[in-house]
Amino acid sequence: MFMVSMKHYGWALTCIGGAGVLLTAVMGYTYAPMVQSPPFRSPEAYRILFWHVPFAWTSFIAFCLLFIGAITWFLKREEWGWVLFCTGADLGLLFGLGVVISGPIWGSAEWGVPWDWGDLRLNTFGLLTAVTLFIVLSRRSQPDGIDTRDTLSTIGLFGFALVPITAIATSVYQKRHPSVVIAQSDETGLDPKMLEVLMIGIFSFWILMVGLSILTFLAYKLESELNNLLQLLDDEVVH
Amino acid sequence: MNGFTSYVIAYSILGSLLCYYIIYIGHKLDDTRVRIKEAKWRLQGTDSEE
Repeated sequence: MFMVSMKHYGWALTCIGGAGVLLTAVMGYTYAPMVQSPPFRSPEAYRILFWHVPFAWTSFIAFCLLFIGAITWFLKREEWGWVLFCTGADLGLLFGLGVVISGPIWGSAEWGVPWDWGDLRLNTFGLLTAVTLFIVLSRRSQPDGIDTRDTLSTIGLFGFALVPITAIATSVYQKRHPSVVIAQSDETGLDPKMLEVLMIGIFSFWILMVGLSILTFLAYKLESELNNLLQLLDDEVVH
Repeated sequence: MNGFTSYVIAYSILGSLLCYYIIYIGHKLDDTRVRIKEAKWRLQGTDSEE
């Protein structure tokens, strides 16, 4: 009963978040004003940020879930810790891929090159997404067991160490990538209309993230229940 | 690539990515639920045979 109601909450939040995400895309094109050219080489491409930034922020929440799950699995050997780890890895990959795909598209239009190998932030984030890809693929190809879980949790913890490095690089190691756009200063900041759209986008993505987290968590929990039942069936056949 | 093209491509790919995951997780939930029911029926069947 609890799982059924959680599933309903999950779908409701996913639908609300999804509608907000769609609204952000529409408002990003119709409501947000155009930037000037110069200094922008491809002014129209800046609108990518209305999804790129929320994708990035949401991916960090997913990486936090992955970290909490890995720590819980190591310390308490709790099944829910492993399920949370899997949820964080899946969603980290989803939102991380969104950032890694949209960033180079904007870079191609604005910089003329899709990737700057000299920028620490781009590279650490790319590596972080690669770690989640590795975890997701390994979990599918390896037999489930304590050894596999320990190995993948260790890799997850290593990957999470890249989160503060990426966060620090965002403000301290500033090279080519634009600085934190939400912060208002002499060098950074957004037009109020752009900020409105971006904030709608961020909150919508967070609601979507909560909905998807609930659904993914339930899916892995059910999968774990199914594995236990199949194990029982195997035992009954053997005996 | 000009600005508008890159905007359309980026939103199309990211939108498809989100839709794919939502459909994937929906299918996974339904599929696992059905397989759990089947496993429970089989277990009840083996119990009643004993």
